[in-house]
Amino acid sequence: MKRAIALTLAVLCFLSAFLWLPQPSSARTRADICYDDWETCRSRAFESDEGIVKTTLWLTVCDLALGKCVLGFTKL
Amino acid sequence: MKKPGLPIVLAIGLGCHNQVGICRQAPPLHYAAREVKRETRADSRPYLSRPVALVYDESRLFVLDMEEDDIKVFSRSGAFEYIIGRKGQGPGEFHLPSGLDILGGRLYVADSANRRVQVVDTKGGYLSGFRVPFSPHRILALGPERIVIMGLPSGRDGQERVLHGFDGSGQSLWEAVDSFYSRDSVYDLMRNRWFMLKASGGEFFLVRGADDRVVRRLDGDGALLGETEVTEKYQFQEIDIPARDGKKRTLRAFCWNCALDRGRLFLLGPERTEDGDLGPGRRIAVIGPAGEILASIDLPERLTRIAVDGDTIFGIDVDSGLRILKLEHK
Repeated sequence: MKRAIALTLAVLCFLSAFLWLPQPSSARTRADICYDDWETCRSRAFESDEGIVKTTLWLTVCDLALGKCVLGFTKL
Repeated sequence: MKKPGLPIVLAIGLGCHNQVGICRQAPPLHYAAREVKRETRADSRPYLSRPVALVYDESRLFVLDMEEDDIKVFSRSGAFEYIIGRKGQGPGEFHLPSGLDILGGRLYVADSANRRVQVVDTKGGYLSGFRVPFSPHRILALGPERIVIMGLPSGRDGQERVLHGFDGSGQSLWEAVDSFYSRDSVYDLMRNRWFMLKASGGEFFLVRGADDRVVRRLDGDGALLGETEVTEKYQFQEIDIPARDGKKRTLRAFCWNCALDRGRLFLLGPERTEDGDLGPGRRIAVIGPAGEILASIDLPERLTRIAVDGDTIFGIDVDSGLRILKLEHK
């Protein structure tokens, strides 16, 4: 009986670990969305016709937003 | 004393300021561009949100609006006519389109966020399209079976190719021109501002927006055919921009936008703004085939985009307004 409980708990722990961790496919999807947003941000900045310094700052903000998105600090 | 040869006489007689070679020393001409009173119709004059490209044919002017995800069509006298496309992912729909070209009554759109190229007729009817493995930034249709697409280098994978050649069905044919790469993606992107201009015979010119005064001529396979250096009389505008390491790097801005017409290159120069930045300018230098300055054109206001047809300049001003200007000799 004890062995069965221990085995069940072990299986549950094992499964929960997999359920809790993001699957590779969903992790990739999140990164893809982050990079898509980053490309959009860069395109908008690049076509903004603001001055060169302002465009540079805008592009820097795009890079910072990408970093926050990939690390999961911002909601998608 | 030897008499002057016939070519010199002919050149003077024909107004040789626009010719290369014997008249290269002639001083540049000065023009002023005056606004043509635009035809307007009370019912509808659309607001251009973020016009990023303009092309024309014999009867119309097509303005690509990146923010509104459409193409606004005007008569050549500036009267609004109709809109092509809308936001979406379906055929004839766009999402953040950033490049536009016209060839044989077909409009070629770099549908950036949808990562595809779409071809529509001048009434907006969908003709064809294909997906590309990157965000297309600029597009040039050299022929129905030769489409050149420029991408914005991401800087994620080291040095990337800037130009990608495709056939009409979307088959990748070639890649050319290495991007600049220094691990500082922002600085690199500012240096990787390129312009493609269609030349005759299925060829095209490549002009860099900064740090380079060489105009490259390429064929439809992306092979370099020749280079012309623009005279140093046409000067860079330098500006310090913030770099990743906290220091500043100097960018030598060459042109804000450019156009090609009848073998002449029109360089819209950058200009210092009130806050010390460098923005779109109000002067165009006309460059001849040998890189010499043929003329300069003073504009009534700062333009961000230009297209030239003879003595007419179609432009977009800093408030996203469409401008139609005629050249007048000063």
